[in-house]
Amino acid sequence: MCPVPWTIKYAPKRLAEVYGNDKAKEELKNWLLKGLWREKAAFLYGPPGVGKTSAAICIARDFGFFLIEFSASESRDAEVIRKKILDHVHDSTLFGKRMVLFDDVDIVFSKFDTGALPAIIEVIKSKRVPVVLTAANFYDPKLVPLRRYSYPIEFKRLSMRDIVRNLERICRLEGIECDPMALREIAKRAYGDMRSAINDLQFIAAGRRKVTVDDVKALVAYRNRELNIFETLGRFFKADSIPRAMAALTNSMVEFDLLIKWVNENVWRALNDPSDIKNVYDVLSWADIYGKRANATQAWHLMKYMMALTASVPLAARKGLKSFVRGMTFPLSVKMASLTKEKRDYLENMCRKIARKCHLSTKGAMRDIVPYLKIMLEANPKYGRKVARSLGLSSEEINFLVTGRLPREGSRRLEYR
Amino acid sequence: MSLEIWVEKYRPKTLDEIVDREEIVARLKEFVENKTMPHLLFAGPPGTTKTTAALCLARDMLGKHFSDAFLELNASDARGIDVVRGRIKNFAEAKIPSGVPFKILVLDEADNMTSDAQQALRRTMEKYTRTCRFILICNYLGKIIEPIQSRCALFRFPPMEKKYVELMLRRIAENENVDLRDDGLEAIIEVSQGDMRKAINTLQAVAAFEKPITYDLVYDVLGKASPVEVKQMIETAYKGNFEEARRLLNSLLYEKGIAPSDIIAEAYSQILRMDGIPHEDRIKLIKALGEIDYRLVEGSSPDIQLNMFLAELYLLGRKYSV
Ligand SMILES: Nc1ncnc2c1ncn2[C@@H]1O[C@H](COP(=O)(O)OP(=O)(O)OP(=O)(O)O)[C@@H](O)[C@H]1O
Ligand SMILES: Nc1ncnc2c1ncn2[C@@H]1O[C@H](COP(=O)(O)OP(=O)(O)O)[C@@H](O)[C@H]1O
Ligand SMILES: [Mg+2]
Ligand SMILES: [Mg+2]
Repeated sequence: MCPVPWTIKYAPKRLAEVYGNDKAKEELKNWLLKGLWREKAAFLYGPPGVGKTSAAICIARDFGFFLIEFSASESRDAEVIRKKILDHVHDSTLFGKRMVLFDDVDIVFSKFDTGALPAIIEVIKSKRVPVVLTAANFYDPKLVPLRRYSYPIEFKRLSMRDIVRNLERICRLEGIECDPMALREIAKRAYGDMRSAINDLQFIAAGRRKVTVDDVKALVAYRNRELNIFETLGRFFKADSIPRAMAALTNSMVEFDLLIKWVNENVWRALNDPSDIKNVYDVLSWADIYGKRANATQAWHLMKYMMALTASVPLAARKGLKSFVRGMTFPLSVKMASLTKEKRDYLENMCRKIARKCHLSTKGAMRDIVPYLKIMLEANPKYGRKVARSLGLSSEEINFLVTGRLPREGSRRLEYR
Repeated sequence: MSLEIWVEKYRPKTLDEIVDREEIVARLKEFVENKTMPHLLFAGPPGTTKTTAALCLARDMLGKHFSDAFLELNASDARGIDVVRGRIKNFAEAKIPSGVPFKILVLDEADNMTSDAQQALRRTMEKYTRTCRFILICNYLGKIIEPIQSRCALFRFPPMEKKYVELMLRRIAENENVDLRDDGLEAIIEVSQGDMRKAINTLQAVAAFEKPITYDLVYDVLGKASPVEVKQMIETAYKGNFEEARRLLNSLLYEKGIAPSDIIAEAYSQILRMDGIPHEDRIKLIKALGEIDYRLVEGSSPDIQLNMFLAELYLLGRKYSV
């Protein structure tokens, strides 16, 4: 016999039954009730098992929406999305009170991106139906194009108290006698993840009427946790050996490339001593070099030096790093480079035209012509426009150079793939 | 002021119109007279007449059949092996149109070809020498594999000499009715560092303001790392305020949008001039800058590498302050 997983049996039915994250739940309700959903999708992000998907399902149920769900385990390419939603979106009799959930949007794009992203954006822009997205990380580079159309709502790890309360409730309903210390131990090991706490409880309780701390200690291993960026950096700065530092980095939900940028942007805040600062940036700069060398030569075994050197950063500071760091900021270089893919494609297309006229490569045009053109357009719009036209640019393209905004839809369908 | 882009309007059309580069032009003209040439390899930094010379040579050599017998490809956009086996091979092996001695294929930015693609080019260059001559153009000779180098006559194009940049700028300014002051001219020459394309582009961008072109206007307009800002960043780090120095660096990079290479170039001349700094520190800083400059050429991340430079400055400065 296969018992129902308790995570399903005891899944919350209404938003009020979702433990913790009160602020996020409030924001989600506001988004729906105050009509924010017409402008943007709700983007629920955070670590696993904290109730993102549950919150989405519950709010639909609470307010009587029929939920159309696209999860990572089924196909959700553009075709499917079109058939299920876009084709009916303007038929209000068929399309009554519906809500759409794209669960774990970050997973789909890494595996197969067959136009799903633009289709999702199209659904959001139809303004006909509230859209909820969930993912681990709002800042995932893969999801950049979605950001403009999303209203971010952060879900944090749950407190021990929330987890213990839910475990107690489940024990009561299952008729299990449970040592409070045992529940605390389970909660501690779950590290804010309700799902794994419930799974652990069910696993331990199997065939027992009573659960003790010793059972927990014997049976439940610590999981490898995916840490968010602040947790990652906190642990990383504290690391006292290369393996520990490496563990902090590899257990992060943030990808390695991006982590290096975070470290670069923030590590000095954890340092006092000038020679420590120098040593740390020296090591970091070598890590960067090996990353680039591996890329340039495609000799991927060189990557290990990049990883090891990055992991050596906390050790390069002889006087150690402060473990508590205030005011860490998102790496500027990444923020600045995150022209959306759509804009990059548009700009590239434009530069290809210029390149042909000026005997340059596309990149060359971007580097050697575009900046000057922008200056001319700003200083002397009439003159600048004429010069730009002589290079074959359309007036939409010229406007893009001036405002940085893509031409409004309608005149131009999304050109993906 | 004419409404085209000036770098193209003033690009020489024939070998005779080329300014400077006397020795190179003389040899290219010999090729034209004798109606023959080997494969050529032009190497040098940006804006130093390479592409222009290739185009002029081809035009002079091919005369009125130019458009039938000439192909220009930019390897940065067409860099794979498939291009070598496809378009390049097809062009090279096709029959010679009547009236020309051979076809000419210009492969610009050839140093951006993968080395596989370069390897694939070897045979094509040999097999079809009789029908097609290649002119390869690159910035970094080191990125061209040796077997290719050995198949070509090499011409090096150093940065343009100041007096010729000046000559071109004055000529254009006069022709376009632009009020180019002496100190403005000086500023443009300074920022363009022997890159003729940059010099002309700068002139046109500044001219768009329809004001007399002065030193200050040039620096204002380019939002270039002006000497003052870089100097301030260096001094701030050296005097012990790492946080503020980083803020200045971020503002240069991300608010003003200044190229990392420009920041390094400016830092370099500042370090040479800076007062009150012991020789051994100056030497260390020059080494550090050279190293960073090279790393950026290799493709490293400017933000990380420049932070390292600030850390070096900070450390050297603090040694004395206690
Ligand atoms: N805050 C919560 N309150 C009550 N139960 C929860 C909560 N969070 C998670 N659970 C339990 O864990 C199960 C999985 O949660 P859910 O699917 O909402 O996680 P998630 O945040 O979407 O995680 P993932 O990022 O892995 O998709 C739920 O079915 C429920 O039983
Ligand atoms: N020797 C020269 N005489 C006159 N103009 C030149 C000369 N060299 C370069 N230029 C100007 O600079 C521009 C860029 O030169 P180009 O030959 O394309 O440089 P590159 O060496 O990068 O290929 C040309 O369009 C032309 O306007
Ligand atoms: Mg989920
Ligand atoms: Mg060129």
